Amino acid sequence: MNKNKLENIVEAFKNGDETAFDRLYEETKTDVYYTILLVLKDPSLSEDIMQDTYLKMIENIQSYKRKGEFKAWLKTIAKRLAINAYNKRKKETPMDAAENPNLFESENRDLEKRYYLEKLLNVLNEEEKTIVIRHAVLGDKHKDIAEDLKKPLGTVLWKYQNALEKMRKEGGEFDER
Amino acid sequence: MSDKKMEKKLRHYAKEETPDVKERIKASSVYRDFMEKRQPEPKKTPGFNWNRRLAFGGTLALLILAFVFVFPLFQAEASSTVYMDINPSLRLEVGEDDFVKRLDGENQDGEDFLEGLSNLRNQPFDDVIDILVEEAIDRGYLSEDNPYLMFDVISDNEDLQARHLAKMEERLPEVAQDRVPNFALMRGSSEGVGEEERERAQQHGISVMKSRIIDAILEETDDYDYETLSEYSVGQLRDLMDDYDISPKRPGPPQDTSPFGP
Repeated sequence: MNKNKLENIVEAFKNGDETAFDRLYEETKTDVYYTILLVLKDPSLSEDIMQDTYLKMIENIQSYKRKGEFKAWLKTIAKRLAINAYNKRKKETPMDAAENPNLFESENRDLEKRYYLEKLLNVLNEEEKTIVIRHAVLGDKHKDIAEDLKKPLGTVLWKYQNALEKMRKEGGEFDER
Repeated sequence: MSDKKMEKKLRHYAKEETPDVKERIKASSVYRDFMEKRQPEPKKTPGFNWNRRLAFGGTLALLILAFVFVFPLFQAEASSTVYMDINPSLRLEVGEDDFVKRLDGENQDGEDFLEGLSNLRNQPFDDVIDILVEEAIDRGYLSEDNPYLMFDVISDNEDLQARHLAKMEERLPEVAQDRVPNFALMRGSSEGVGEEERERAQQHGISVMKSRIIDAILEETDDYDYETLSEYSVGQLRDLMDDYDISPKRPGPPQDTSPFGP
């Protein structure tokens, strides 16, 4: 959906159109969820923060001025809430990434549901996961990812290709779906 | 699989596997308060005596009746009906806003096909086309051996029909050609379908578009019967049309609208 169309839906939601909220949600949920998951690396907690993000958005929607950046604005809220939750959890239960090899998995996940993406991502290390999610799912440019990770662009591109190759090998069974 | 296809697949999985918290949000007091505040406040009515109240009530009742039974005839939201046939036969109701309002299987295969997909209602038409085609390829309904997709768009609103037709003609090859290079799009005919015609197609588990092609072939030859041809794929029927030199002219048999078709 182009930015203008999304802004029109935001305006409709501001005026109390309930169906506009459904559309806004469908259009942004993936970006919001994976932005949070990248910070928290915990699907169950990410789900809670995802809900908080939309509630925060609703509380502040009247202050949002139409400038074609609704998704970016929403992702900023999501990231800020995720960082807060991360810091809070760190204080309560210190976490060490090395002790949690499967950070994208959670015991509370619905085991009946098949999580293809999760399975594919699990063949990658944490850095590769971040690069793949940011580029392939969230649409971030390699250049921006390289800046954030403080790595040369060439390294990020190489790691990205490497990650895709690993997933290709792992993903044979998924192609049959 | 190319990088682009891999990325597309990852995006598809990501969307599908994103948890759904919409109902939780809608049940929250924040959401309900927001919606309540956005509704216009009811105006205070001046005091009426009983006679005036009864007269007012009667008039209001008449207005409501008129509104319920007459107004919708003129104000029904424009939509188009999109038919797609890849053996699973699907029917989509697409609104003026280009969002899919309804999605049904026209035959058992179509219903089974949709069962495996997450809810596609209220999703943008473009996205739904992408998902349906990708899924049809994943499940082997569309392949280099079976590259035909037949479709039609019907609407009372000519502009809307033209817009949705154009969208299908532009979008379908764009999505399918990556994985099925010989993908071919065929325009079928679903206009003016009678009850009897629909029932016969349904009994044989095929779409009306396919049924009409079969009728057109049977007009030219006695070598086949309806039963046999209803088992044929769209591609096989298309070959027979060529064999018997059947002109793809609407209404009736389909038109080949794809530059990629044979």
